[in-house]
This record gives sequence, structure tokens and C-alpha cells, in this order.
Amino acid sequence: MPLPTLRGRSGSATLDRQNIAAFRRLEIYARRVVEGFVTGQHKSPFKGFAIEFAEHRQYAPGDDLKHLDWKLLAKANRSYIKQYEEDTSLRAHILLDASGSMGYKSGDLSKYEVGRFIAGVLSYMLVGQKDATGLITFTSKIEKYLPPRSTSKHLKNIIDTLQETETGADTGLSEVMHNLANRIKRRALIVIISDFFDDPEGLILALNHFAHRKHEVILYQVLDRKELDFPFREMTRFESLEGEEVILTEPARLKREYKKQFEAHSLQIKEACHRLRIDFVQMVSDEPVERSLAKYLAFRLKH
Amino acid sequence: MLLAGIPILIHILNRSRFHVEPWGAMMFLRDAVQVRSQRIRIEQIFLLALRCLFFILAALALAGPISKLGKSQADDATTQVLIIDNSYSMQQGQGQDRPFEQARESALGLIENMRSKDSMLIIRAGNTPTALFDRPSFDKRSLKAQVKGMEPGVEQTMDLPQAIDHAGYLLTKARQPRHRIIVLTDGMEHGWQIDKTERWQKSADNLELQKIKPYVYVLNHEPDDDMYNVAIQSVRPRTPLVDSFRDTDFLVELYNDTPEQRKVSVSFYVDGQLKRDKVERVPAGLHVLSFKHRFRLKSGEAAEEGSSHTVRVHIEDDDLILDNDYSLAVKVRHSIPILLIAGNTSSDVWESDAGMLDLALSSAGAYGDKGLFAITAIGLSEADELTADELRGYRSVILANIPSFSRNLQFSLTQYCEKGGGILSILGQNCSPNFYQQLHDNGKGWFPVSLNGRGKWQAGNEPFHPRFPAGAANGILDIFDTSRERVLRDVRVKEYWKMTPSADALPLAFIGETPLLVTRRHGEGQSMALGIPVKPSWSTFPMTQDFLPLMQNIMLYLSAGSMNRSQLAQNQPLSLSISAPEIAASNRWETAQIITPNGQSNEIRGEWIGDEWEAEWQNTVTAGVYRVDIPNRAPEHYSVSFAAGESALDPLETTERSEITETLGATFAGNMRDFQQSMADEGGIREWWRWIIFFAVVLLCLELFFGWRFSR
Repeated sequence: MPLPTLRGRSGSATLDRQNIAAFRRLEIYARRVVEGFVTGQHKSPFKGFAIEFAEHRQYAPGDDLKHLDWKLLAKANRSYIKQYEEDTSLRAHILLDASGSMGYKSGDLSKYEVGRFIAGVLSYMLVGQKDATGLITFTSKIEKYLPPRSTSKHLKNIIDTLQETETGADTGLSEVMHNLANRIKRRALIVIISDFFDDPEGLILALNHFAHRKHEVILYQVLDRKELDFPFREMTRFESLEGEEVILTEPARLKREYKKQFEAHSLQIKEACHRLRIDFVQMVSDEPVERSLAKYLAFRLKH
Repeated sequence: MLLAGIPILIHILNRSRFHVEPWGAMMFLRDAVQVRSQRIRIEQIFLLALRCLFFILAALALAGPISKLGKSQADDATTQVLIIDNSYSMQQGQGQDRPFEQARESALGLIENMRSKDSMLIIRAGNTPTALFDRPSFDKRSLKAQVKGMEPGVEQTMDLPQAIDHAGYLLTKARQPRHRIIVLTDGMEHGWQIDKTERWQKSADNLELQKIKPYVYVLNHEPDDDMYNVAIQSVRPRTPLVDSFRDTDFLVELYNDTPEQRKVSVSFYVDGQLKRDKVERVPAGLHVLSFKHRFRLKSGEAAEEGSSHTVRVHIEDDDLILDNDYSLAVKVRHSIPILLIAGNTSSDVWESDAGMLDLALSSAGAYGDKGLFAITAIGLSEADELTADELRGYRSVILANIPSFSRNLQFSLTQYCEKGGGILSILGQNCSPNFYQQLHDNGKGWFPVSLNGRGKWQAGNEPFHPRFPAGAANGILDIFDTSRERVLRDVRVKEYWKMTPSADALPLAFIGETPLLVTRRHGEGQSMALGIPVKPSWSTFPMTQDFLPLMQNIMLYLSAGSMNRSQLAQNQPLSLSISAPEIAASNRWETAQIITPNGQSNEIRGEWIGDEWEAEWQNTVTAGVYRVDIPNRAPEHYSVSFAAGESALDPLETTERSEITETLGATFAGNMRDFQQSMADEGGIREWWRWIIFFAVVLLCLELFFGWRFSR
């Protein structure tokens, strides 16, 4: 199945990125992404979790034998089909990091704009499938909490919130995640969109917390190319986007060590995710957002 | 040192000029800085140090060629002394290839490159150094004119230590702060006095003592290796007196300085006319050939005066032409007046002391019908009153068996001999030993021996056989065939005077160990003593065939006298002394004309002293024949020739040159490019400068390497 191409009316990638940056035409993009997966599949890449037994009914030819109560058959020699009370929709919480570091932008899109776009597309996708979707934006604390709903009005709230939210100063990812893990009681899909520039120990503890509560967690790490490559040569004064911290240095001399630290951090998180069976998706802001998203969704669909 | 601050300044400026990057991933950057900060600091300091050092070295390198220990001496005004080798080896080769012409070009180039604040002196280095200016000159035009006008090769050789001493002395008068001596030479060893190391040390010491020690350079214009030279070392008549009665044998000495035999053409001229030429194969080293010529008395010439002629020998086909010509002024005698003073006069020729001598000397012999010698025989009484002037009319005086003579005659003879006259004293039975001791005057008088009694032949013994010392060579003995033993074969001596020669006298013949014939120079003349009289009672000498030729030769030898006054060495003053008692005071001349070998006519002024006109001419630099024209007299000729000097074209050995240049503290250059480089090295900075540049480049490479390495 071909991946959806999300091009603007003009057909240019530049226009796409302008749209992403401006957070407009989100619906169109979301629809296109979703159409590529959901339409004709009758399946969501995000499965439901809670299926509760309601009652038996007499087996009729043609019923799915998967739902046959074999115990009863063995016991009473009767053929009955189990009927379940299905959760008609997924409960999803989209956690979008709006801390200062997410505001970093070296190209035409900041990490936050990419993250916001992902959050928007996912919101469209989930609400479109009648999955209750909530949004939490945070910095060093929860900035905005929208509980999961599946109405179109709620979706508009989500989109408006995403549109209005700007990046803040501090970060406190681990603390927020712990806090949310305590708050979100019912099993849900937790999508965390962040750069995860925080103490990995704290992060991993928070992820453990989520895993302990049986939540399904997806981590979208959004990074900037320059944060990955650290290509700076000349004397540079690095001013923190999350505080007063300033470092004046010759970046060429630090590049190796920086990358070593960065990779160690990423590895630590990836290993934790692997151990906790958490999906970890790394996206770079200069890569086509929709392509990365579609690729991941396709992978998820298969698995 | 200020330049060393540039990297620091750049570093500071860089830290104030930076790119600002709002950054999100501070945690990683912070951790990286924490880990690397110390190392980064060390690397920065290291690179900064490299850069500072590089700038320091670059600054030194830039300053190197023009500074000396921080001072910029190259800007100092300089007085240069050019010493131009003017020895005649500088003339080897052809045209502009000659070392002298190359040296001239170099000198002109050095003058051209003078800055307006520099001055120069030029010394022509020959036998004696001659400064062309008496003080340093700033005027390039006049300096160039002097150099262009320099006559090449007029000097025989070069005394370089003396030239350098002279240059050093001239520089003491220069006011510029920087002094330089530059020698332009062909590096032939002759003028370098390589065997006189103490001489060089003295020159070096003199330069060292100067307030401003000059830099010394030698620019060598060595000619091609395949140059060779055959030189005419001398031309002389075999006999000291040249006469018109016989062929004169002119001996020409050629010197071939190569190990191979060389073929040269030799031409022989008399009075400007070519008489003979031939091709001669000259082996390595010294070679003698001869040309014969018979001079004739020309009509109108007075026989008594003799005639003045020139002989010239010219060779060709070698690379140094300056010593290919040799000229000789020859005085040809047509008659030799001899005064014979007899101690005993007798009509019996055997008894008369003068008889046999008169007979022998008047005999034509080998001289044709008319004898060469015009003998005037007088007795002692007549001789006693003779004055020196009267004696001067004779070329020689024979004292035949004179017992003693008057004080007047003693004085006259002393004057006569000192002025060039020849005296033969024939000792016989009449001679008073005491009187002759007085004449001897312990070796100070003209008489060449002291008498110690007589020797006698003993009956029963063989008579004495005179002999000549082996290897002795002088004009007298040339009459004897050298293939024979030099003995007076038929002479038997029965009695003889025992003589002890003066310290500077030369014995020519011996009886046993006792001299029989002794000669001695006194003043400009010659005095000879014969220990036997011309008497058969004493020896068989008068009866032998050797008597006549020997006596004539003795008289020729004695009569040559001041013949060599017409042969001059280069720069030797030409002294004229013309005796003219017959000229009346009113007809006396004041000046004469000297025509130099290159045809220039110069007036020379003299003065009369008694009956003699005397004058002196100093400028005998040019080799060749000088003709003196005196009013109403036949011209006189004088010749100036080079002594055997730089005929051997032997370049200095490298070790010899190194030794001398090291002693002198000089820098030796084989070509102008090396010479200019060594001048640029003056003060010794350039060598350091090269090392500085080398290390600066190394530092730069290190800086680039480590800068790249640290940034990886």
C-alpha cells in the first residue's frame, strides 16, 4: 500500500513545511495519513484493550469459533458464544513537551512544531476512530490537561490548544511523567512527544511507572539535526532555551564528547524502552514529518 | 616581541566575536564541557604558544637579513675598499674573459650598487699597493672612471697582505660606521704569500685592533683550468760586455709552467727589426735558447762612445701575453780603452810587466784586424798624478806588478772603481804586501785579497796546476769548453802569491786550495787580483794558448762595469748620469726627452754637477725600452722588464686559501652570486635566519596539525 503523500495544493515540500509550521490544514494531513491506513483496513493501528464478558448466547452457524466458550462446552456439552462488552474506543493521552528545548529550530521547523504536528495528526486519527483522546502539554509542570474525549468538539479543543501553546522555559519531564502516571488510572495509550532532554534515570523510572500500570507507551523523540550532528565550528555562545545558562566554547573541540554523551543518553532510553516493550520513534526535524509518521504507523499496523 | 602578542590578541578578539546559538541540548554540552574543559584549556594554551612562537620566529626571520642582534646594521653607511689584483696573471686569457676584465666588471658593479651614503676607496694591488683616491669617494662617476682607466697587468705581482694592511689603514680615516674590504683577484698563489703565515696573522691582528673591524671578502675570478703560460724570464748576452767584433750570443730563458711540452713561436728583434724567428718546443720548466747577432759600427758613429741598441724577444701561442715580450737595452762597444800601468818598463817584452799584456790585449785574436782593446801603457810615475776623471776615460785599469803608488792614485783608483771602473791587479815580485794590505783595508778597500807571502814550487814536485771550481759560472770562464775539465791544462806555476779573499770576494781559480784569481765588486765597479805576474819565471801561463783569450775575457769582464745600469727592474728609477766634460757651459742642456715604451714623450729636467748632467725618472711601471734623447748626442736606451714573477699560473690550493681566509676572518666567494649572498650574510645573521624560517615553518605545520587534531 503506498504511503500517503502529503503535499500542499502547490505540490511543494516547502509549502508542506510551511503548513506544518503554521499548524494549518492539519485535518487534511491527518486525513491523508489515516486514509492510508484505516480506510479499507477496518483496522486501527492502535488496538483496544478492555474487552469485558457480558453474557452467553446460543451458537449459530457462522459465528467465529474464537469466541466459543469451550469450557462450557466441555462441562455442559453446550455450544455458546461469549458476548463481550467492548470498549468502543481507545483511551489515548498525548503528552506534548512544550519546554524551552523543544523550541530549538535550526531549519524551517522547530522541534515543537514537528511535535505539535505529530500530536495534531494523531489526535485527528484517534478521534476520527472514535478513540477518546486527551492532550497534556507540559513544561516543568502540566500546562494544559484535556481529558480524553472522542467528540469532534473535543478534537477542536485539542487542535486549538495545540495551536495556542508556545514553548516555555524550564523542563521537568520526569516529574511530569511520574505525576501523570499517578493520575492516569485506566489503561491507556500514552504517546509522549518530547526531545527527552532530561535525566535518563528519572525518565526510565517514569516509564517503569507507566509500564507498571499496563499503559501502552509510545515515545516520539523529536530532535533537530544540529542537535544530532553538532556541526558548529566557530566560537559559539550557547544560550540555554530553558534558563540562564550560557556556555561560550569552541564547539569543534567538544563535538566528540558531546556526541558521546548524546548517544549514551539515547541508548539508555532505547534500552529501557526495549526492556519495557515501549515503542521508541526518533524523528529529526529536517526529515519529512509525514513520511516518518506514516512509516511508523505502517510498522505498527503490521505488528 | 609585539608580534608575539598577535595570537593572544586574536584569541581575545575571537572570544569576543562569536556566534550566538540558542540551544536546547545544554545537558549534553554541559557534560561535554565538564569532561573536556581542562584538556581544551591545555590545547588552547599549547596552540597559543605555538602561534606566539611562530610569530616571534617570523618576526626574527623578517628582521634577519637586515638586523644583527636587534640592530639594523645593514642600513649603516658603509665605506668599502676595493683591492683590485693588478698582477699580470690577471691578464691570462682573451678579451673580457681575462680575470682582470672580470674584476673590472665586478668593481663597476659594486660601484653602481653603492648607496648614496656609502663611500669607496680603490687600491690597485701590485708590487706595492696604490690607492687611486687619497680619501673615500662618494662620487660613483669618478670611481667608475678610475676603474675603467686602470691599466691592466702593469704590476709584476701582488703583495696581498700589504694591500690589506693599506686598506685597513685607509679605513681608519673613514667616518662611516661600517667598513668592508673586498679583494678582487684571480686566486693565483703568487701574490698570496702562502709560506708567510705570520705575515697574514699580522694583517689579521691589525684589522682586529681597529675601532671598527672591517668585514673582509675575497671575490675570486679564477680563469679556466686549461690556461697555460710560457713566459720569457730573461734575455741577456752571454758575455757582460757586448762589442762589435764578434757575434753576441743572446740567451733567452723561457719558463713553461705546464707539465707538457709547449710549442711557441719565438721572434728576435734588434733595433725594432725582426732578425730571426723560429718555432721552439719548450719542455716543462726552464728552457734556454740562444740567438746570435753581430752588431756593426755604423758610419758616423764614434767608436769610443759605443752605440746604444735594443734587443727584443717576443713569443706567442700561450694564454698570458704580458710576459711574452722582453726588451733589452744593449750598449755595444766598438773600442775598449784600457789603461796599463806598468811597475817595470823594459824594452824586453818578457821583462816588461806591461809588455806581454799589451801584446795580448792588442792582438786582434778573434776580433778581426783591428783590436777591440785600445791599450794605453804608462809608467808608474806618470800614473801617480792621474785623477779619477782622467781614469774615467778608460773602461779598465791594469796594475802590472806595481810595488806601491801615491795617495793620489789610491784615491783616484778608489773613486774610479766605485763609479764603475774595473781594476786588475797583477801581483809580481815587486809588490809590497804591506802596501796592498792597506789597499785591502780589512775587506773595506777595493783590493779584493790580503797577501800572505808567496808559495813556491819545490824541486822534484810536479808544478802546480791551476783549476777552476767545479760548477762556477761567470763570463770569464765561458771561453773554456765546458766539455773539458776546467783546468788551465798547459799552465805550470812555479811561484805565486798566497791570497786570502775578502768575505764577499769570489775566487775564480785555485792553486791547490789557495786562490789564484779573485774578483770582487766594489761600488759599481769590479776589482780583480791575479796571484802570478805575466812572467815565465813565475809560470808558463804567458806561453800557453789560454793566456790570450783569458786575459781578453778578464778585461771584457772588468770593463763591463756599469753595463747593467741600462737594465732596470719595474719601478726602479731611471738614473741618468751623462759625463760631458767637452761640452762648454754655454752649450749645456737642461732637459732631455724620455720616450716610454708606449710612445709617450716626457720631458725630464736635470742638473749639472761638475761635468756630469744628472737626472732621474721615476715612472718605470711600463715594461719595455725607454729611449732618452739628449740634445746633440746619440740616444741612450734603457730597458725595464718584469722579473720572473707570476709566470707560474698556480691557483691557491683550497686548504691554503681556507687557512688564509680563516686567519683573516675573510669570506671567500667563487662568483658574484655567492659573494652577494655572503655580503647579505654579513653579521652572521643569515644562517640563523634560515634556521628561524625553518623552525617557523615547522611550527606552522605543527599548529595546523594540532589545530585539526584537537578539533576532531
